[in-house]
Amino acid sequence: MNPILHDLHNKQWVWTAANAKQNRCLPTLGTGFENFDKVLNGGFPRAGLIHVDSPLGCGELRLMLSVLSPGAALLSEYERTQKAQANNKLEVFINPPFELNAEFLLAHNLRLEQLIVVQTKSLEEALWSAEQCAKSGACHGVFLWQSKLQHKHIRKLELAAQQGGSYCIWLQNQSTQEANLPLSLSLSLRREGEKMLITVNKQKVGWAQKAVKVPLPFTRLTNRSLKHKLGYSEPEQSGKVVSINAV
Amino acid sequence: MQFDTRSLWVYVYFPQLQLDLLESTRSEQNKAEVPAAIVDIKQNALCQVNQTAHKQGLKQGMGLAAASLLCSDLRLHEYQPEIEANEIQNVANQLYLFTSDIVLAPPNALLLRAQNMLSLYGGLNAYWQIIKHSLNKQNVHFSAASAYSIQAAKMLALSHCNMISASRKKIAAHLAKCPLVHSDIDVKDLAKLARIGVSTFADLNALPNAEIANRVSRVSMSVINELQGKQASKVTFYQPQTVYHDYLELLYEIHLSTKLIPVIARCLKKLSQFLLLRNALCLEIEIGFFQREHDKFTEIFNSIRPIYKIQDWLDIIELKLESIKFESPVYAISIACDKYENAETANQDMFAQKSTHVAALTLLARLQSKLGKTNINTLSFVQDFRPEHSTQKRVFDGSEQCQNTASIFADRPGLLLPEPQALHAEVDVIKGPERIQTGWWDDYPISRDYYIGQSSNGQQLWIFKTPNKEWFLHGYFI
Repeated sequence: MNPILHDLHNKQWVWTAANAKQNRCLPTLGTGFENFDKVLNGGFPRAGLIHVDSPLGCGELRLMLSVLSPGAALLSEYERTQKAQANNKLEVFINPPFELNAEFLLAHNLRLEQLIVVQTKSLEEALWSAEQCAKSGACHGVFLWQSKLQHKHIRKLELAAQQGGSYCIWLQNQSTQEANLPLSLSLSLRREGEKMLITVNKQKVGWAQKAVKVPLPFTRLTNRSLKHKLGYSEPEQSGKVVSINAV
Repeated sequence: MQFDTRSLWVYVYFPQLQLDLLESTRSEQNKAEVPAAIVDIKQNALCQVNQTAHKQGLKQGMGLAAASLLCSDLRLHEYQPEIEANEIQNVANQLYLFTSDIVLAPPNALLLRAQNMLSLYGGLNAYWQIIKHSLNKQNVHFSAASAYSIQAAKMLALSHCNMISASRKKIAAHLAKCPLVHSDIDVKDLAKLARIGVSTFADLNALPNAEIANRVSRVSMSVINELQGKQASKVTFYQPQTVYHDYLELLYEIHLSTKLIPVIARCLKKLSQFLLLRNALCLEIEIGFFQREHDKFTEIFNSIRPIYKIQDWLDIIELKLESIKFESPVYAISIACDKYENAETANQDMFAQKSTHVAALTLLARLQSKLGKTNINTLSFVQDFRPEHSTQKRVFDGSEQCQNTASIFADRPGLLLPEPQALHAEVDVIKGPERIQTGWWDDYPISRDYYIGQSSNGQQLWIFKTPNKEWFLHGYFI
């Protein structure tokens, strides 16, 4: 092999088709939106750093929670075990820009006794706590609000999240970040009327895809199995689904 | 407590306990041999000399001037009986694992009642092997002797007659040669006895007791009776302490907190042994740093999860020490642990929750020690219609007391501004209104019509209108 190529390969900067097959076998976490899943080749990765870039308050946390929150509708066997485990893990919120509202979190089926809000004084402390939380294995999701991160910080967090089998979600409100970061998934969110426009900036395996639109109401999507191809709907819950579309 | 004169006692004497303690503080890497000695200020003489110093010609009882001439790089420490008295407790603590009846003779000796241990260990020899092994492990120098009375054992041990034997004949033979100086007989009475030519135990035995009784005080007489095995001595047995306290003087003063870690680790090792023996875990330890030119600085280290292992404590302490700056060098540290709890003995399912729970508590303890307790919060939900009152922050303390009441209203924003701000942006109302008029019973009445609005850049805002038609921004639907 070409030595430069070899070098790049060792640094895992080169993606090969052989890799793709391997990686595709890995279980993914379905998002519940058919078009979004398609773009993501099945769903969210098993663990890792997910970058979400959006204006503040367009539904970024709602989208992530609808996918990750332990109470979300169950889809596959893997997701079921994944979410059962998540049941007694912590959700950590680091430096939210304003006060978190418990009522909103409850509505998204988060258990408050397993929720930690961390306030830090400096960027170093924030990164340190995010890293500790992500790699501890005790956390399911670590939500970090930070305007800018350096390349090395991102790499550290990605590794920590992989190690601890957790999701580290980096919420950014003004995009000033360069492209090609060493993270698992990078999303840009924008709101277009009632729907959310999601652009996948980067994912580990797969081609660049067009932006997708998903509906995202103020309340949590209570029953996403309707949208699933094997979907079965419980009659008493279908009423709620209608109310979602009304938003 | 009074005992018959048939019990076998072992007297263990530690000639250089303070020095042994200092030497053991020296870390493993720093094994360089430094001549060191303990000096008795009152008598201006060396009282304990380590091996390196001994090789250079230093001896006990030598004056300071002579000592410094012989050995220029001699490290001197002041003799402090309290340190030895404290250390003898630690030694007794360790021995208590193997033998039941221990009598402390501070500052530097202790007594073991061997009689009732003999049948357990199958003879004096086996028993003494175990005691010796335990003492050797603690790196202390000692000399010991056995006899059928406390006074006799003491006299034998102090006259360096290291004999552990249960044979009365042998003991009597050795005892006869012992000088009386090492017994508890009053100094004045010793002088009186010397005048009539009594200096060893054999001399004493040669005289009839009535003759001696005429010459010495009553206290000395009872000592003599004890020596001769005619009277039992009164002693109180050692009880292991219920709280942990340790004090350690450093070999040299340390200013950097990171350099203190290995020393603290050493102290924690003792603590963890203490806890392990009691099947206990502790939540809080207090470490005092004695500073050379400033007051003692005390720091309390907390763990959310009850732990006993050294490494777990070190993790917490290391993080907290990072933020501590000492005003002047630290010359000694103390560790105290007053409260501990019994470890649960219930069998728990290995695969259920447990491991995550432990990991979670470890993580939280770590975060708290680095960032401060007040920065790690958990939320609880209170049923109040006023959005600013329904969420309450509280410091995470490991307890799970919050009840998960389900929220009543679905359309609530994820982020709330601490104070509503006047609305300046242009916003399309997409949902509302929802009137909240409440709180007339206390000092914070509100009357607001809430709407959900969307700004041109896609931000979904929670806004409200007051009865005066003023618009405010109160939250973001993240």
